[in-house]
Amino acid sequence: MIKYILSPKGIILLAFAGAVVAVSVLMAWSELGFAGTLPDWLTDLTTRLGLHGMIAGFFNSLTPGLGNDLVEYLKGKGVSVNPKSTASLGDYGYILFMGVALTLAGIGIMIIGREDAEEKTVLPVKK
Amino acid sequence: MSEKIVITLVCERAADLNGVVDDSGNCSEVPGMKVIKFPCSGMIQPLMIEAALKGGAEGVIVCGCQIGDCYYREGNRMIRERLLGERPPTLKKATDRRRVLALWLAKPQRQRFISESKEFIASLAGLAAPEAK
Amino acid sequence: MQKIVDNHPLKTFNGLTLAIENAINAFMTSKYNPFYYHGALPQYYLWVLYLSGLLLFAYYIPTIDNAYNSRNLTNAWTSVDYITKSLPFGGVIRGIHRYAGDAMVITILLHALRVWFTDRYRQYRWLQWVSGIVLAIFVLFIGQTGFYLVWDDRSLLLTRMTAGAFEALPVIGPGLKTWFLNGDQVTNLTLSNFLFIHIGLSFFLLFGLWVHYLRMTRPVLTPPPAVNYILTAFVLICVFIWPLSSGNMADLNQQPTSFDVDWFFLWPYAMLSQMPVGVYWAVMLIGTGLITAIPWLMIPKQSAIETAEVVLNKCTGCSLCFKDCPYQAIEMVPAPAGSRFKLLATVKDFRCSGCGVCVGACAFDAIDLPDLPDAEVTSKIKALLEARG
Repeated sequence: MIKYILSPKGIILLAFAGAVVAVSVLMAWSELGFAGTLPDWLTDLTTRLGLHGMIAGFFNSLTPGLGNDLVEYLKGKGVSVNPKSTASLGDYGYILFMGVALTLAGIGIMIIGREDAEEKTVLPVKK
Repeated sequence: MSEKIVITLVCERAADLNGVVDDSGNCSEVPGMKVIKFPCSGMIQPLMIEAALKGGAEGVIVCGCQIGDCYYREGNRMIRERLLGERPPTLKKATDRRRVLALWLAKPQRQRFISESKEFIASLAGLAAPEAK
Repeated sequence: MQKIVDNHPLKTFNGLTLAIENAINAFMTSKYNPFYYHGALPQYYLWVLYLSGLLLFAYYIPTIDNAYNSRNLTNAWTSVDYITKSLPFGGVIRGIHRYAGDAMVITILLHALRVWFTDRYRQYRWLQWVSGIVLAIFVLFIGQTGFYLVWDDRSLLLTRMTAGAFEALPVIGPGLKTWFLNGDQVTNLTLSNFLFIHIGLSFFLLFGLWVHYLRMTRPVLTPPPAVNYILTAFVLICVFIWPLSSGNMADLNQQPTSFDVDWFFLWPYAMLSQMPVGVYWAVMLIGTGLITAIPWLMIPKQSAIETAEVVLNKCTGCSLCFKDCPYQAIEMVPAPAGSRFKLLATVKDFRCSGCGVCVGACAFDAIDLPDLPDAEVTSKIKALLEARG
């Protein structure tokens, strides 16, 4: 067991397990509206790195008009959300991008995982 | 010097050889190849491959359907695992594995079968003669 | 000694299927060809449906009025409206549940057509075919109950059409209608019954699947992850392209007259609206009977399968054939008294496909197909080699 955990496979598995736990905690944190002021430490970090304003400025410059087409499309399809709730039209955009990402991931895995030798098996020579 | 023969053990649902193989198992496209058909490649025993090589065959080609598409569900996986030594019974240790080729081809892939087997036969010519017993 | 494999009536379709799969193999390779996991595709969507359904179940209220009077969620329609418009990702989850159901019907159809076209449905496979038909009918009915649960005007019309169709059946009709509506007319109890049918029957599917997999060793239950990603993405993109919205809330005092037809689940209702109810039931029952009987009707005179035979004095009871048989047709029984070995393989003829995998698994020549014994193959190999000039 210990030997397995210390093997490369075990270490990768452990790293994944740690990532899953971390992301699970982050999900709860995001449910709380990211209390803990993420923007502050992000600004702090970028200032220390001498990149102040660059990253935020870049993303903010994209914001106007971004996603307008998607919103118009959804409204045209009769989608509406209750403005008093935390639901948003962005949920649909999120799911669209997730679908695209999954498609790309699937195709990527297929490209990496495909083996041309699948139609042919050459037996390894034993010594 | 006797004629060199390659024995082909093929599933009758895999690469369609009906047009090119006559009743006595001769293939018109690949000279020197003798074809024996099986209901499923899973029926092929490693013993049969050994018997062919022992009997003086230049090489043996095993052909089943595409992996994942066995009419009887798992036959081609079984023989592949047996050839690779992952599932008993396996080939004997002394068997010359360079003389065995396995192809997994669907019915429409006759041309692929012919080109692969020709290539295999050509590669056999470079090997030392088998010890006929 | 060679069996003829090309005598199936659907050989044209078989050729077409193989050609399509061959084309897909050319760029996806057999490892990711979805046709090679055709049975596992609906199974994957079933898990998606269970998970998304669980989330919807948490907020759904199965009443038609404010019997529960919990906050402003007064009935089924408003609870669905709340899920769709006020819950974060609620509308998305609802869409996933709906389109995963549609996708499941598509993949079931694909699965059925492929086994039919490639001649993998009859004789030793009859149990899989018949249980598959039963499963497909249940999937349809479960999907339809899902459409009632939304409780918009379409739901009301579908409920009334179903109750009317049940009532028209002789003998069992009135009882069925009472069971369906959970009373004589549509009340609060009706929707809780619908919810029970919808969820209860979807767990019954697991039992049906157990029967479906019963005679198969190592059934293929999951496609590879990359294929799962694409299957999921297909549903997610559908959710965006055709976002869902309910119709108006059902009003018991009005009779809706038309509705949008979801062609995957609601085609029986489209049929029912076009013909008298007696004709509808006749078409449905006879159609189902014919489809169920395909394994026997398709080829009237099917040649019996040459089942494997154990050579009693050679079998060592090593169990290799038992492990490798893809149809669980081999059973290891205690060897007769006086044998050197503990176990003996026996073949259950009604399950045997005559494929010969057991012959390949046997290192002792102890199991044989009667029409192609392994000794014959070996002697043929020797004859071919000796005959060379």
